[in-house]
Amino acid sequence: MSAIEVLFDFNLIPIIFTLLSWIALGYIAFKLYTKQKVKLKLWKVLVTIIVGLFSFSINVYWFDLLLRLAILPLGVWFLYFILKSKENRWERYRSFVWLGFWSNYIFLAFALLSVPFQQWFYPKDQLSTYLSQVENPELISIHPAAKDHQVFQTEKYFDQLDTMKKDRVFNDEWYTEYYLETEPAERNESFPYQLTGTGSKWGSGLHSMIYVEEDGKGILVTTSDRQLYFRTDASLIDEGGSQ
Amino acid sequence: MKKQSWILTGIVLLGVVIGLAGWFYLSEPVSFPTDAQLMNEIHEMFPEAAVDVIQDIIHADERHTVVPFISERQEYGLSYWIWKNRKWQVAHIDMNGEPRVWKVDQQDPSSYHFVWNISPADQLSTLQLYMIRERGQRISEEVVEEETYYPRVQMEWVTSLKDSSYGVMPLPEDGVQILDSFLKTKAKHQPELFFENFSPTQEIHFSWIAKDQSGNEAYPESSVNGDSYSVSNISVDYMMIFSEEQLELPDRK
Repeated sequence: MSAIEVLFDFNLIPIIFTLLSWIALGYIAFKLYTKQKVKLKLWKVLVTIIVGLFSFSINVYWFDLLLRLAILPLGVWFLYFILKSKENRWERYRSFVWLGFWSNYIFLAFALLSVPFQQWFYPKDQLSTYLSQVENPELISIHPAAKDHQVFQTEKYFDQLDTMKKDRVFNDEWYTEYYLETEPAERNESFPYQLTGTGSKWGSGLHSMIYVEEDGKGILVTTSDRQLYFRTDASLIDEGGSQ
Repeated sequence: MKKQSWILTGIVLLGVVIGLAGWFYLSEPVSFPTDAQLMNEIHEMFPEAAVDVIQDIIHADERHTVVPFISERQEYGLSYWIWKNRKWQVAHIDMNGEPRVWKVDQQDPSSYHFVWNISPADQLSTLQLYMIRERGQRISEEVVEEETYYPRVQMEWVTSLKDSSYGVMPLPEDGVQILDSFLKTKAKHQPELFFENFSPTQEIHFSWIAKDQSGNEAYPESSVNGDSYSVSNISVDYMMIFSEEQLELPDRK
Protein backbone atom coordinates (compact mmCIF):
# COMPACT_ATOMS: atom_id res chain seq x y z
CA MET A 1 0.00 0.00 0.00
CA SER A 2 1.68 3.23 1.04
CA ALA A 3 5.40 3.76 1.36
CA ILE A 4 5.22 4.38 5.09
CA GLU A 5 4.15 0.87 5.70
CA VAL A 6 6.72 -1.58 7.00
CA LEU A 7 6.49 -5.26 7.72
CA PHE A 8 6.75 -4.89 11.46
CA ASP A 9 6.02 -2.14 13.92
CA PHE A 10 9.13 -0.07 14.23
CA ASN A 11 9.40 1.02 17.84
CA LEU A 12 12.51 3.15 18.06
CA ILE A 13 12.70 3.75 21.81
CA PRO A 14 12.17 0.14 22.94
CA ILE A 15 14.74 -1.03 20.40
CA ILE A 16 17.32 1.44 21.69
CA PHE A 17 16.69 0.57 25.32
CA THR A 18 16.77 -3.15 24.69
CA LEU A 19 20.13 -2.67 23.01
CA LEU A 20 21.34 -0.61 25.96
CA SER A 21 20.30 -3.29 28.42
CA TRP A 22 22.28 -5.90 26.51
CA ILE A 23 25.28 -3.59 26.51
CA ALA A 24 24.92 -3.16 30.28
CA LEU A 25 24.67 -6.90 30.72
CA GLY A 26 27.75 -7.41 28.54
CA TYR A 27 29.66 -4.84 30.56
CA ILE A 28 28.87 -6.51 33.89
CA ALA A 29 29.75 -9.91 32.46
CA PHE A 30 33.05 -8.52 31.20
CA LYS A 31 33.84 -7.09 34.67
CA LEU A 32 33.10 -10.40 36.36
CA TYR A 33 35.13 -12.26 33.78
CA THR A 34 38.24 -10.13 34.23
CA LYS A 35 38.03 -10.63 37.99
CA GLN A 36 38.14 -14.41 37.68
CA LYS A 37 41.42 -16.10 38.43
CA VAL A 38 40.68 -19.33 36.61
CA LYS A 39 39.16 -18.31 33.30
CA LEU A 40 36.21 -20.19 31.92
CA LYS A 41 35.82 -20.57 28.19
CA LEU A 42 33.98 -17.57 26.77
CA TRP A 43 31.26 -19.59 25.07
CA LYS A 44 30.56 -21.36 28.35
CA VAL A 45 30.06 -18.00 30.04
CA LEU A 46 27.63 -16.93 27.33
CA VAL A 47 25.60 -20.13 27.51
CA THR A 48 25.54 -19.94 31.31
CA ILE A 49 24.17 -16.40 31.30
CA ILE A 50 21.51 -17.22 28.72
CA VAL A 51 20.38 -20.36 30.56
CA GLY A 52 20.42 -18.38 33.80
CA LEU A 53 17.94 -15.96 32.21
CA PHE A 54 15.19 -18.57 32.21
CA SER A 55 12.81 -18.01 35.01
CA PHE A 56 9.24 -18.34 36.02
CA SER A 57 7.87 -14.85 35.74
CA ILE A 58 4.62 -13.01 36.12
CA ASN A 59 3.42 -10.27 33.84
CA VAL A 60 2.20 -7.11 35.44
CA TYR A 61 0.64 -4.19 33.69
CA TRP A 62 1.81 -0.90 35.03
CA PHE A 63 -0.19 1.76 33.22
CA ASP A 64 0.35 0.75 29.60
CA LEU A 65 3.59 -1.02 30.20
CA LEU A 66 3.95 -4.76 30.35
CA LEU A 67 6.44 -5.62 33.11
CA ARG A 68 7.92 -9.09 33.40
CA LEU A 69 8.79 -9.87 36.98
CA ALA A 70 11.12 -12.85 37.21
CA ILE A 71 10.33 -14.82 40.35
CA LEU A 72 11.62 -18.37 40.28
CA PRO A 73 15.18 -18.76 38.94
CA LEU A 74 14.51 -21.94 36.96
CA GLY A 75 17.67 -21.59 34.88
CA VAL A 76 19.75 -21.17 38.01
CA TRP A 77 18.33 -24.32 39.59
CA PHE A 78 18.82 -26.27 36.42
CA LEU A 79 22.47 -25.26 36.14
CA TYR A 80 23.02 -25.92 39.81
CA PHE A 81 21.92 -29.54 39.41
CA ILE A 82 24.16 -30.00 36.42
CA LEU A 83 27.20 -28.26 37.78
CA LYS A 84 27.19 -29.34 41.41
CA SER A 85 28.40 -32.88 40.68
CA LYS A 86 32.02 -31.80 40.28
CA GLU A 87 33.71 -30.07 43.14
CA ASN A 88 34.25 -26.33 42.83
CA ARG A 89 32.64 -26.20 39.44
CA TRP A 90 29.46 -24.49 40.69
CA GLU A 91 31.56 -21.85 42.47
CA ARG A 92 33.26 -20.91 39.25
CA TYR A 93 30.03 -20.55 37.37
CA ARG A 94 27.85 -19.17 40.12
CA SER A 95 28.29 -15.46 39.49
CA PHE A 96 27.46 -15.83 35.79
CA VAL A 97 24.47 -18.01 36.49
CA TRP A 98 23.01 -15.44 38.83
CA LEU A 99 23.94 -12.62 36.49
CA GLY A 100 21.71 -14.38 33.97
CA PHE A 101 18.84 -14.36 36.40
CA TRP A 102 19.33 -10.77 37.58
CA SER A 103 19.63 -9.55 34.03
CA ASN A 104 15.85 -10.02 33.90
CA TYR A 105 15.79 -7.04 36.21
CA ILE A 106 18.33 -5.16 34.13
CA PHE A 107 15.89 -5.45 31.23
CA LEU A 108 13.07 -4.36 33.48
CA ALA A 109 15.01 -1.34 34.73
CA PHE A 110 15.78 -0.23 31.20
CA ALA A 111 12.17 -0.72 30.18
CA LEU A 112 11.11 1.57 33.00
CA LEU A 113 13.84 4.02 32.10
CA SER A 114 12.53 4.18 28.54
CA VAL A 115 9.12 5.43 29.61
CA PRO A 116 9.99 9.12 30.01
CA PHE A 117 11.88 9.00 26.70
CA GLN A 118 8.92 7.45 24.96
CA GLN A 119 6.71 10.16 26.37
CA TRP A 120 9.23 12.83 25.39
CA PHE A 121 9.62 11.65 21.79
CA TYR A 122 6.07 10.45 21.29
CA PRO A 123 3.77 12.37 23.64
CA LYS A 124 0.62 10.34 24.02
CA ASP A 125 -1.68 13.30 24.26
CA GLN A 126 -0.53 15.10 21.12
CA LEU A 127 -2.15 14.82 17.76
CA SER A 128 1.19 15.07 15.94
CA THR A 129 2.23 11.73 17.42
CA TYR A 130 -0.60 9.94 15.68
CA LEU A 131 -1.01 12.02 12.57
CA SER A 132 2.38 13.21 11.46
CA GLN A 133 2.84 11.82 7.95
CA VAL A 134 0.18 12.61 5.41
CA GLU A 135 1.23 10.86 2.23
CA ASN A 136 -1.88 10.25 0.20
CA PRO A 137 -4.77 11.25 2.38
CA GLU A 138 -8.15 9.84 1.57
CA LEU A 139 -11.40 10.58 3.34
CA ILE A 140 -13.46 7.42 3.29
CA SER A 141 -17.17 7.77 3.89
CA ILE A 142 -18.05 5.28 6.57
CA HIS A 143 -21.65 6.40 6.99
CA PRO A 144 -24.39 7.75 4.70
CA ALA A 145 -24.19 11.05 6.60
CA ALA A 146 -20.95 11.76 4.74
CA LYS A 147 -20.93 14.09 1.77
CA ASP A 148 -19.38 12.94 -1.48
CA HIS A 149 -15.99 13.94 -2.80
CA GLN A 150 -14.57 15.45 0.34
CA VAL A 151 -10.85 16.12 0.31
CA PHE A 152 -8.60 16.41 3.33
CA GLN A 153 -6.68 19.68 3.41
CA THR A 154 -3.21 18.56 4.40
CA GLU A 155 -1.73 22.08 4.47
CA LYS A 156 -4.50 23.45 6.61
CA TYR A 157 -3.99 20.57 8.96
CA PHE A 158 -0.31 21.25 9.48
CA ASP A 159 -1.00 25.00 9.79
CA GLN A 160 -3.47 24.46 12.57
CA LEU A 161 -1.79 21.55 14.28
CA ASP A 162 -0.36 23.71 17.07
CA THR A 163 -3.55 25.58 17.78
CA MET A 164 -5.93 22.64 17.87
CA LYS A 165 -7.62 22.18 21.19
CA LYS A 166 -8.17 18.99 23.05
CA ASP A 167 -11.81 18.51 23.88
CA ARG A 168 -14.29 15.99 25.22
CA VAL A 169 -15.84 13.98 22.47
CA PHE A 170 -19.41 13.90 23.80
CA ASN A 171 -21.46 14.08 26.88
CA ASP A 172 -23.84 11.48 28.09
CA GLU A 173 -26.98 13.55 27.59
CA TRP A 174 -26.12 14.33 24.03
CA TYR A 175 -25.41 10.71 23.27
CA THR A 176 -28.64 9.55 24.86
CA GLU A 177 -30.78 12.14 23.15
CA TYR A 178 -29.11 12.03 19.81
CA TYR A 179 -28.64 8.30 19.40
CA LEU A 180 -30.43 6.21 21.94
CA GLU A 181 -33.70 8.15 21.79
CA THR A 182 -33.70 8.70 18.05
CA GLU A 183 -35.04 6.25 15.50
CA PRO A 184 -32.27 4.62 13.44
CA ALA A 185 -33.58 6.19 10.24
CA GLU A 186 -33.09 9.67 11.70
CA ARG A 187 -29.64 9.13 13.14
CA ASN A 188 -26.89 11.22 11.74
CA GLU A 189 -23.32 10.14 12.36
CA SER A 190 -21.20 13.00 13.67
CA PHE A 191 -17.97 11.34 12.49
CA PRO A 192 -18.86 10.05 9.03
CA TYR A 193 -15.32 10.07 7.60
CA GLN A 194 -12.23 8.05 8.29
CA LEU A 195 -8.91 9.43 7.16
CA THR A 196 -6.51 6.90 5.63
CA GLY A 197 -3.17 7.14 3.89
CA THR A 198 -1.53 8.73 6.90
CA GLY A 199 1.10 7.61 9.34
CA SER A 200 2.09 8.11 12.93
CA LYS A 201 5.34 9.75 13.95
CA TRP A 202 8.44 7.94 12.67
CA GLY A 203 9.62 5.25 15.06
CA SER A 204 6.55 5.33 17.27
CA GLY A 205 5.17 2.04 15.98
CA LEU A 206 1.68 3.35 16.62
CA HIS A 207 -1.41 2.52 14.61
CA SER A 208 -4.62 4.42 14.92
CA MET A 209 -7.94 5.05 13.29
CA ILE A 210 -8.57 8.69 12.54
CA TYR A 211 -12.15 9.88 12.26
CA VAL A 212 -13.07 13.29 10.93
CA GLU A 213 -16.13 15.15 12.10
CA GLU A 214 -19.02 16.10 9.84
CA ASP A 215 -18.08 19.78 9.83
CA GLY A 216 -14.42 18.96 9.21
CA LYS A 217 -13.38 20.70 12.41
CA GLY A 218 -12.92 17.73 14.67
CA ILE A 219 -10.44 14.88 14.62
CA LEU A 220 -10.98 11.78 16.71
CA VAL A 221 -7.94 9.53 17.05
CA THR A 222 -8.60 6.00 18.24
CA THR A 223 -5.73 3.72 19.15
CA SER A 224 -5.99 0.32 20.75
CA ASP A 225 -6.01 1.80 24.22
CA ARG A 226 -6.97 5.44 24.09
CA GLN A 227 -8.86 8.10 22.28
CA LEU A 228 -8.06 11.75 21.63
CA TYR A 229 -10.34 14.40 20.31
CA PHE A 230 -9.22 17.73 18.88
CA ARG A 231 -11.13 20.71 17.52
CA THR A 232 -9.94 23.39 15.13
CA ASP A 233 -11.43 26.72 14.11
CA ALA A 234 -11.43 26.15 10.37
CA SER A 235 -12.62 23.08 8.53
CA LEU A 236 -9.97 20.64 7.37
CA ILE A 237 -12.06 19.21 4.57
CA ASP A 238 -13.26 20.70 1.37
CA GLU A 239 -15.46 19.62 -1.45
CA GLY A 240 -13.26 18.56 -4.31
CA GLY A 241 -10.89 21.38 -3.41
CA SER A 242 -7.20 21.22 -4.06
CA GLN A 243 -4.73 20.61 -1.32
CA MET B 1 37.75 -38.01 1.65
CA LYS B 2 34.98 -40.27 2.79
CA LYS B 3 33.66 -37.65 5.19
CA GLN B 4 33.63 -35.05 2.43
CA SER B 5 31.62 -37.18 0.08
CA TRP B 6 29.07 -37.79 2.83
CA ILE B 7 28.67 -34.05 3.33
CA LEU B 8 28.33 -33.56 -0.41
CA THR B 9 25.67 -36.26 -0.63
CA GLY B 10 23.87 -34.63 2.27
CA ILE B 11 23.84 -31.26 0.57
CA VAL B 12 22.58 -32.72 -2.69
CA LEU B 13 19.84 -34.66 -0.87
CA LEU B 14 18.76 -31.59 1.05
CA GLY B 15 18.59 -29.62 -2.19
CA VAL B 16 16.45 -32.31 -3.77
CA VAL B 17 14.08 -32.41 -0.79
CA ILE B 18 13.68 -28.63 -0.74
CA GLY B 19 13.17 -28.62 -4.47
CA LEU B 20 10.53 -31.32 -4.26
CA ALA B 21 8.77 -29.60 -1.38
CA GLY B 22 8.78 -26.34 -3.32
CA TRP B 23 7.47 -28.06 -6.40
CA PHE B 24 4.78 -29.75 -4.32
CA TYR B 25 3.60 -26.84 -2.20
CA LEU B 26 4.41 -23.75 -4.21
CA SER B 27 3.70 -24.89 -7.73
CA GLU B 28 1.67 -22.70 -10.02
CA PRO B 29 -1.90 -23.84 -10.51
CA VAL B 30 -2.64 -25.79 -13.65
CA SER B 31 -5.74 -25.30 -15.73
CA PHE B 32 -9.01 -25.73 -13.91
CA PRO B 33 -10.79 -29.12 -14.04
CA THR B 34 -13.64 -29.65 -16.48
CA ASP B 35 -17.26 -29.47 -15.37
CA ALA B 36 -17.51 -33.27 -15.30
CA GLN B 37 -14.43 -33.54 -13.11
CA LEU B 38 -15.77 -30.87 -10.76
CA MET B 39 -19.07 -32.68 -10.39
CA ASN B 40 -17.25 -35.94 -9.77
CA GLU B 41 -15.18 -34.51 -7.00
CA ILE B 42 -18.14 -32.81 -5.33
CA HIS B 43 -20.10 -36.07 -5.40
CA GLU B 44 -17.15 -37.99 -4.05
CA MET B 45 -17.06 -35.72 -1.03
CA PHE B 46 -20.74 -35.07 -0.72
CA PRO B 47 -22.96 -37.42 -2.76
CA GLU B 48 -26.15 -35.72 -1.53
CA ALA B 49 -25.22 -32.61 -3.50
CA ALA B 50 -26.59 -34.18 -6.71
CA VAL B 51 -25.17 -31.44 -8.89
CA ASP B 52 -26.98 -31.03 -12.15
CA VAL B 53 -25.40 -27.99 -13.77
CA ILE B 54 -22.11 -26.21 -13.15
CA GLN B 55 -23.05 -22.56 -13.71
CA ASP B 56 -19.69 -20.88 -13.87
CA ILE B 57 -16.09 -20.88 -12.66
CA ILE B 58 -15.03 -17.67 -10.95
CA HIS B 59 -11.47 -17.17 -9.81
CA ALA B 60 -11.20 -15.12 -6.62
CA ASP B 61 -7.45 -15.25 -7.11
CA GLU B 62 -4.92 -17.59 -8.68
CA ARG B 63 -5.42 -20.30 -6.08
CA HIS B 64 -9.00 -19.75 -4.91
CA THR B 65 -12.03 -20.35 -7.04
CA VAL B 66 -15.78 -20.33 -6.59
CA VAL B 67 -17.98 -22.66 -8.61
CA PRO B 68 -21.73 -21.97 -8.43
CA PHE B 69 -23.98 -24.87 -9.36
CA ILE B 70 -27.60 -25.98 -9.54
CA SER B 71 -28.61 -29.31 -8.04
CA GLU B 72 -31.15 -31.77 -9.38
CA ARG B 73 -33.50 -30.51 -6.68
CA GLN B 74 -33.13 -26.98 -8.07
CA GLU B 75 -30.99 -25.81 -5.20
CA TYR B 76 -28.62 -22.98 -6.05
CA GLY B 77 -25.39 -23.85 -4.32
CA LEU B 78 -21.77 -22.83 -4.17
CA SER B 79 -18.54 -24.77 -4.03
CA TYR B 80 -15.18 -23.36 -2.99
CA TRP B 81 -11.98 -24.68 -4.53
CA ILE B 82 -8.39 -24.31 -3.46
CA TRP B 83 -5.17 -25.11 -5.29
CA LYS B 84 -3.37 -27.20 -2.72
CA ASN B 85 -0.75 -29.92 -2.92
CA ARG B 86 -0.58 -29.63 -6.70
CA LYS B 87 -4.28 -30.22 -7.08
CA TRP B 88 -7.49 -28.28 -7.32
CA GLN B 89 -9.48 -29.47 -4.33
CA VAL B 90 -12.98 -28.73 -3.22
CA ALA B 91 -12.79 -27.15 0.25
CA HIS B 92 -16.36 -26.32 1.06
CA ILE B 93 -19.82 -26.84 -0.39
CA ASP B 94 -22.97 -24.86 0.43
CA MET B 95 -26.30 -26.20 -0.75
CA ASN B 96 -27.81 -22.76 -0.41
CA GLY B 97 -26.44 -19.60 -1.90
CA GLU B 98 -27.36 -16.99 0.65
CA PRO B 99 -24.69 -14.27 0.82
CA ARG B 100 -21.52 -15.13 2.66
CA VAL B 101 -18.02 -13.77 3.01
CA TRP B 102 -15.12 -15.90 1.93
CA LYS B 103 -12.12 -14.73 3.94
CA VAL B 104 -9.42 -16.27 1.81
CA ASP B 105 -6.83 -14.90 4.24
CA GLN B 106 -8.34 -13.79 7.55
CA GLN B 107 -5.57 -11.27 8.16
CA ASP B 108 -5.85 -9.65 4.76
CA PRO B 109 -9.15 -7.87 4.09
CA SER B 110 -8.24 -7.39 0.42
CA SER B 111 -8.72 -11.14 0.06
CA TYR B 112 -12.29 -11.03 1.34
CA HIS B 113 -15.00 -11.85 -1.19
CA PHE B 114 -18.75 -11.64 -0.98
CA VAL B 115 -20.29 -14.70 -2.61
CA TRP B 116 -23.88 -15.59 -3.32
CA ASN B 117 -26.12 -17.70 -5.51
CA ILE B 118 -29.77 -16.74 -5.11
CA SER B 119 -32.40 -18.96 -6.69
CA PRO B 120 -34.45 -17.21 -9.39
CA ALA B 121 -37.49 -18.72 -7.66
CA ASP B 122 -37.08 -15.98 -5.06
CA GLN B 123 -37.59 -13.33 -7.73
CA LEU B 124 -35.16 -10.82 -6.34
CA SER B 125 -33.66 -7.90 -8.18
CA THR B 126 -31.02 -6.36 -5.97
CA LEU B 127 -28.68 -7.36 -3.21
CA GLN B 128 -27.43 -4.77 -0.73
CA LEU B 129 -24.28 -5.70 1.15
CA TYR B 130 -23.18 -3.98 4.33
CA MET B 131 -20.18 -3.57 6.52
CA ILE B 132 -21.34 -2.48 9.96
CA ARG B 133 -19.77 -1.52 13.22
CA GLU B 134 -22.23 -0.50 15.91
CA ARG B 135 -21.90 2.91 17.49
CA GLY B 136 -20.56 2.80 21.00
CA GLN B 137 -19.59 4.98 23.87
CA ARG B 138 -17.92 4.58 27.18
CA ILE B 139 -17.10 6.81 30.09
CA SER B 140 -14.17 5.80 32.17
CA GLU B 141 -13.79 7.19 35.63
CA GLU B 142 -10.54 5.53 36.49
CA VAL B 143 -8.19 8.43 36.87
CA VAL B 144 -9.88 11.31 35.15
CA GLU B 145 -13.27 11.15 33.62
CA GLU B 146 -12.75 10.31 29.99
CA GLU B 147 -15.22 9.71 27.21
CA THR B 148 -14.66 7.34 24.37
CA TYR B 149 -16.84 7.28 21.30
CA TYR B 150 -16.94 4.85 18.40
CA PRO B 151 -18.58 6.20 15.28
CA ARG B 152 -20.95 3.88 13.51
CA VAL B 153 -19.63 2.30 10.37
CA GLN B 154 -22.35 1.63 7.83
CA MET B 155 -20.95 1.06 4.37
CA GLU B 156 -23.15 -0.20 1.59
CA TRP B 157 -22.55 -1.88 -1.74
CA VAL B 158 -25.39 -2.65 -4.10
CA THR B 159 -25.38 -5.28 -6.80
CA SER B 160 -27.96 -6.55 -9.24
CA LEU B 161 -29.37 -10.05 -9.22
CA LYS B 162 -31.16 -9.66 -12.53
CA ASP B 163 -28.49 -10.88 -14.92
CA SER B 164 -27.22 -13.85 -13.01
CA SER B 165 -28.19 -15.69 -9.87
CA TYR B 166 -24.63 -15.87 -8.55
CA GLY B 167 -21.80 -13.49 -7.90
CA VAL B 168 -18.34 -13.16 -6.43
CA MET B 169 -17.43 -9.64 -5.40
CA PRO B 170 -14.14 -8.65 -3.79
CA LEU B 171 -14.61 -6.38 -0.78
CA PRO B 172 -14.40 -2.89 -2.34
CA GLU B 173 -11.27 -0.83 -1.73
CA ASP B 174 -12.91 1.55 0.77
CA GLY B 175 -14.01 -1.35 2.90
CA VAL B 176 -10.58 -2.96 2.67
CA GLN B 177 -8.92 0.21 3.94
CA ILE B 178 -11.30 0.59 6.88
CA LEU B 179 -10.92 -3.06 7.89
CA ASP B 180 -7.15 -2.87 7.44
CA SER B 181 -6.80 0.06 9.80
CA PHE B 182 -9.15 -1.67 12.18
CA LEU B 183 -7.13 -4.88 12.24
CA LYS B 184 -3.84 -3.03 12.52
CA THR B 185 -4.96 -0.88 15.40
CA LYS B 186 -6.44 -3.82 17.18
CA ALA B 187 -3.63 -6.24 16.43
CA LYS B 188 -1.20 -4.38 18.62
CA HIS B 189 -0.27 -6.84 21.33
CA GLN B 190 -2.14 -4.81 23.85
CA PRO B 191 -3.22 -6.16 27.18
CA GLU B 192 -6.30 -8.14 26.40
CA LEU B 193 -7.91 -7.21 29.65
CA PHE B 194 -7.90 -3.66 28.46
CA PHE B 195 -9.57 -4.35 25.18
CA GLU B 196 -12.26 -6.46 26.72
CA ASN B 197 -13.67 -3.73 28.85
CA PHE B 198 -12.95 -1.13 26.22
CA SER B 199 -16.06 -1.91 24.27
CA PRO B 200 -17.85 -5.17 23.66
CA THR B 201 -19.26 -3.93 20.37
CA GLN B 202 -15.93 -3.10 18.85
CA GLU B 203 -16.43 -5.55 16.03
CA ILE B 204 -17.09 -5.00 12.39
CA HIS B 205 -19.51 -7.41 10.79
CA PHE B 206 -21.05 -8.00 7.40
CA SER B 207 -24.74 -8.06 6.63
CA TRP B 208 -27.18 -8.01 3.73
CA ILE B 209 -30.65 -7.02 2.55
CA ALA B 210 -32.35 -8.31 -0.60
CA LYS B 211 -34.96 -6.39 -2.60
CA ASP B 212 -37.63 -7.74 -4.92
CA GLN B 213 -38.62 -6.45 -8.37
CA SER B 214 -40.68 -3.61 -6.94
CA GLY B 215 -37.93 -2.51 -4.58
CA ASN B 216 -39.37 -3.92 -1.40
CA GLU B 217 -37.36 -5.73 1.19
CA ALA B 218 -37.67 -9.46 0.57
CA TYR B 219 -36.55 -12.67 2.12
CA PRO B 220 -35.12 -15.24 -0.26
CA GLU B 221 -37.11 -18.16 1.08
CA SER B 222 -35.64 -20.85 -1.15
CA SER B 223 -32.03 -19.66 -0.93
CA VAL B 224 -31.47 -19.89 2.78
CA ASN B 225 -32.08 -23.55 3.53
CA GLY B 226 -29.63 -26.27 2.76
CA ASP B 227 -26.68 -28.11 4.19
CA SER B 228 -23.10 -27.09 4.19
CA TYR B 229 -20.26 -29.47 3.83
CA SER B 230 -16.70 -28.61 4.78
CA VAL B 231 -13.73 -30.59 3.58
CA SER B 232 -10.89 -28.37 4.70
CA ASN B 233 -10.71 -25.57 7.13
CA ILE B 234 -11.57 -22.41 5.22
CA SER B 235 -13.51 -19.47 6.49
CA VAL B 236 -16.73 -18.91 4.63
CA ASP B 237 -18.59 -16.74 7.08
CA TYR B 238 -22.31 -16.56 7.45
CA MET B 239 -23.75 -13.05 7.15
CA MET B 240 -26.71 -11.98 9.24
CA ILE B 241 -29.67 -10.73 7.30
CA PHE B 242 -30.34 -7.09 8.03
CA SER B 243 -33.47 -5.02 7.81
CA GLU B 244 -34.06 -1.56 6.44
CA GLU B 245 -35.44 -0.53 9.80
CA GLN B 246 -32.01 -0.93 11.32
CA LEU B 247 -30.35 1.24 8.70
CA GLU B 248 -29.40 4.80 9.49
CA LEU B 249 -30.37 7.46 6.96
CA PRO B 250 -31.67 4.80 4.56
CA ASP B 251 -32.65 7.37 1.94
CA ARG B 252 -29.21 8.82 1.54
CA LYS B 253 -27.08 6.69 -0.65
